Amino acid sequence: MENSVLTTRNNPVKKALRHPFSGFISIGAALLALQIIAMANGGKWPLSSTLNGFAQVMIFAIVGYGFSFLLGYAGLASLGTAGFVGLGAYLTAYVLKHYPGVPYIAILLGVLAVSLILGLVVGFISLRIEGIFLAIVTLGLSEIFYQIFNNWIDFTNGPNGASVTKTPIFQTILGMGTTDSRRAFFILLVVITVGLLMLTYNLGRSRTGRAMLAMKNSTSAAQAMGISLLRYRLLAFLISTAYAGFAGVLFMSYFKYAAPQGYTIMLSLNILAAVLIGGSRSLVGTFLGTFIVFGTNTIFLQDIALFRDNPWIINVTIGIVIILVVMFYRGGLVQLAQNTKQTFNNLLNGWRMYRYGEDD
Amino acid sequence: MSIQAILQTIINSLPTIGRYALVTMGIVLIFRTTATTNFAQGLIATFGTFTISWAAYTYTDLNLWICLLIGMAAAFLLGMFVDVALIRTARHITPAGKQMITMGVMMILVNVIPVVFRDITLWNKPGKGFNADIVSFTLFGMPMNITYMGLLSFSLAVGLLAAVFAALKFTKWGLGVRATAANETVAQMLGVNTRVITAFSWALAGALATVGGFFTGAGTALNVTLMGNTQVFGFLACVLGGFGSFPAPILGAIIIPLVYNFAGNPALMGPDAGMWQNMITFIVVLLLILIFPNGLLGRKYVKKV
Amino acid sequence: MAKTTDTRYFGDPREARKRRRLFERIERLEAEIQIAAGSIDLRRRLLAEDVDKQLERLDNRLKKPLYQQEMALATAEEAAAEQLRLKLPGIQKKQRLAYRKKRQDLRRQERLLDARGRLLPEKALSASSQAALDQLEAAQQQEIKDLETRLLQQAKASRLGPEQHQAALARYEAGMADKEKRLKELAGRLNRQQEARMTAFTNKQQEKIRRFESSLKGYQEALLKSEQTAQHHLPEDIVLRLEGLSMAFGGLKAVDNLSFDVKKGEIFGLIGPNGAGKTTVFNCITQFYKPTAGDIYYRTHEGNVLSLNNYDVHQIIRKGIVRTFQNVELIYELTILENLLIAAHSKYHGSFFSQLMNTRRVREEEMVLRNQAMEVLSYCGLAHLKDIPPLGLPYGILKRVELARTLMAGANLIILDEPAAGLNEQETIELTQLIRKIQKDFGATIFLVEHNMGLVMDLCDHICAISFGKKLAYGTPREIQNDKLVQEAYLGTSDESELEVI
Repeated sequence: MENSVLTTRNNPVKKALRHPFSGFISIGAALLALQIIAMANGGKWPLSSTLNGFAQVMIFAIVGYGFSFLLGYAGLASLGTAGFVGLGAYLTAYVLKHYPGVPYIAILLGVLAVSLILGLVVGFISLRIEGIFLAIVTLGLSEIFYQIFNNWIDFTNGPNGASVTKTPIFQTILGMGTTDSRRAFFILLVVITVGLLMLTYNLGRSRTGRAMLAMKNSTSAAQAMGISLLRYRLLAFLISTAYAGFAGVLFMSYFKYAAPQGYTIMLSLNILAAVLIGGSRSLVGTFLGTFIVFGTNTIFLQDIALFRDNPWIINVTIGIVIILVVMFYRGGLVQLAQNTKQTFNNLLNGWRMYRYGEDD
Repeated sequence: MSIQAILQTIINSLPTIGRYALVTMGIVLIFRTTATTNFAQGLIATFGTFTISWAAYTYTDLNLWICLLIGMAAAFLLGMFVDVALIRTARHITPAGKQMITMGVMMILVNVIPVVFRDITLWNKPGKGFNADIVSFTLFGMPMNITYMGLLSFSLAVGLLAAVFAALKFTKWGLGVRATAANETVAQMLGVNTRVITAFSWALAGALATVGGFFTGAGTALNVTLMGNTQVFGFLACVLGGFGSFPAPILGAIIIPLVYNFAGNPALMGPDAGMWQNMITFIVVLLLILIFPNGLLGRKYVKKV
Repeated sequence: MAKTTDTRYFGDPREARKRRRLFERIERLEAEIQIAAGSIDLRRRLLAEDVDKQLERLDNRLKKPLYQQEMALATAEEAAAEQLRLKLPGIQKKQRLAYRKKRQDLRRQERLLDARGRLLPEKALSASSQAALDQLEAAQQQEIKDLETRLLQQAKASRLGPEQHQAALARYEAGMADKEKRLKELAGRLNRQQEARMTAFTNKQQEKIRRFESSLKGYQEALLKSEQTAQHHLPEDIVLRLEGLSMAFGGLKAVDNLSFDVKKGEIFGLIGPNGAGKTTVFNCITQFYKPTAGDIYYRTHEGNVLSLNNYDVHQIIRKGIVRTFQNVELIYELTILENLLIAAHSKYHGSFFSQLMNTRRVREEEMVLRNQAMEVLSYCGLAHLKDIPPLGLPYGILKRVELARTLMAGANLIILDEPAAGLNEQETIELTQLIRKIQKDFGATIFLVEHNMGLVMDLCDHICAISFGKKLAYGTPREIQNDKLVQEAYLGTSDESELEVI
């Protein structure tokens, strides 16, 4: 009788589950589930404010992907992110208000084009100025953006904020009602977030990601290996500003409102915090970090009076966490997860040794 | 634009130059001794300034100068605390990492200060010891004006900076600072107590910046964003002048307020000047920095491969 | 200043520009050809794996029902044995755990363990405890024997009657035959598909390769023709020529009017006391510094001559010149395999968007180059380290990784900056052997700077000695050793001590 036992190696399902994409998709599925549950029970749970909180998390996670590529792969710090997000939002509002016939795709591409140009500018600047000084210059850039948003009334409606009345595509083209269009946009947002996550992941593992890491660790070695510093620095900035601008468009499309106070240095710092907390090279980490920084107060702690009345507590905690992460846990949550797993394994092995003795 | 207007603009810039010089002195002190760009500098100064206001209104018969000293002391302690608690512990971290730590401090302070000084809006009534007189004088035969407070702040700034430079040059502490700035490890081996030096530098930076904050806030409503603009431009001044030596950033501190005031002059820029002032200043400064990436007075180092 | 050297070589700036363009096209074509050729093998392998996988899946699916039938048809012993085989690992595991637990408990009773539960050194269980353990072991083995007997009894009881057996056998054989038939069918179908796909693909790729090669030939002929018009000829056997190279930093002349030739396929050494400017020479050749004066002519492996001063530092590797660094410059955030892939950076041609979408082309490129990197690592004896980041590895290993990196880039001229620095005797010997092997197997020219005189004299075919940036002597190792100037400046004469160094 030949060995006729069934084999389970090369199980394709198991292999697919281990691929990071399934993790990404499950996050997306969880978010979709929330929205669908809300739709099913007429908005009783989860509340729209909670869903809006998740939408905000997703949008800022997109900014975070770009920022994490810049920080984690290319090792460059730019504090101007908030300005680019705001720019995307305000451009969208301006075009939608003053040129209502323009298709949404055109707005997207237009914002991307502007973001790319600005990204090139910052990239060229970064070639002349070293790392920590670059942070100073981008700090100034962020401040300038804030001033523009605040003062250029014709473009941004100043401190009162800009708003649009209808969500593009879903309200303007498909003619949905306000609540429905927001729900539909939420679903679109989930798809976009997960999609971008996958694309960015691919990029990170390709030769571009490797080239950036080389550039970050040793510019001499990178150049000797044929990596043009000019090209890859610029590319890093292009990617991060494009993501930021794109997120700005999404923000305006979902929330239909933008105010200058929302695009200050604090936003840039919060994004930095989110990326650092999650782990600067990990995309899932960035998503979790964004959730922690932007999501906890809008999603969870709204119900607790202490936190609702004293929003400063969260921000102070985030500041403290940034310091702790930089000082002790450079790898962020991802490192924490790995260390926890490691510690757990060690403890388990220790217990096994205690109970059973060695295995010979 | 007439000569008189030009000179008047320059005179008007003097108080700002004084304030910026104080702030940049603090920044460069911290940078050269601990290789950190302290993004929380503005907020430490704000903390000091708020303390001054608190002291002035809680102890109503206290001389304003005493209040200033109290504020400086508060910022002194806060700066020292940040260095001892955080920067020293993180000594082995890259400068970029230390920068991020200061960003964390920034986030903490910007949220904590309004809570601690909850009633600050009650205290910002100007007038207590605030002299709004205008001093007139002639320069090269042309009439010039300057506010009393402006003159005071400029003089005080010049005096303080002169004292600091004198201390750097002649005192033992100054020698220690210069040694640590050159090479911390070697300085330690030569017996310089770098821990005291760096703590004191952070503290002094905070105190100096508080004086700058005092004059920025005098006569206006106090708000936690008081020093925001100053800090950003203060850092740009340091990059512009160059971090390579102690006097270099002062050059930046001179140039930026001048550019700012000329950029905001309606006679030169038109009626909407105020709207674009910041942006024009930033662009000019940026261009200068791009042309001189190591600062106007800086030097370039070639890495040995 | 640098731009004029091409003109000086070719007398005509247009000719020089044309050459540069031709050269870039040749590079691109060569890369495409390599990728295309590699992808044929790769595709064949992938398709074959795919076929195997599909066949296996069908096989598994069809086996399931047949398995039951087999069990029914087998003899009692066979069936029992099969059942035992399935159950045994689980039971053994449990028994093993029980044994270990009992042993540990006994040890604890006799206080033979430390705080963490490990056996104290040179302690052992008493005889009585050991006896108890042996008893347990015997009991466990008995348990297994009992199970065997039980299973056998069960099997015997469940055997089929003779007619049922016949029917079942017939069914089974039909089932097996059916399975075989279907497998053969599928295999045939898949193989035909694969053949068709492969032929189509191969033809397409080979057509591409033919096209490329013909263009390539055209370009190469054009290049060689243009070299005929050059005013200044580089002899065929010279791969690198420095002519009057000078590099000054401010007022300090680090390299002063240095000229020498490096012959094709040889190992060339540059020696000199510390501070003589050796690393500066390297940096000038590889364009990390732009020389203040002088020309550097280089002959690529197709035979075309370039003036290196016209190129940026990141373009040098494409010409076939790779260098290592004195202070090992590896990327610590990546694994060793990935470090090698960095060297192949210029060989990738997937566009940015293909990388975003991780298209098939990008994946194939990646696989081809990963295979190459694996081969290079095996060649250098580093295959076991491929997935480890270089952090914390011994210095000798790191230097070998740097060397492997140069091989990955397909180098024509390999420049080694103090390869033996920091290595002990054994490692230096291994390095010498490796360098010789590389010279033989890859036909590369090797240019090295080294302080270890033994290594230099042993390895190098020709040596140039410099001091304070100026050339002292050039010749074979024997000639250098006997040269008076060199002796004075560097080696020290026989009756003076080694302290005679300038």
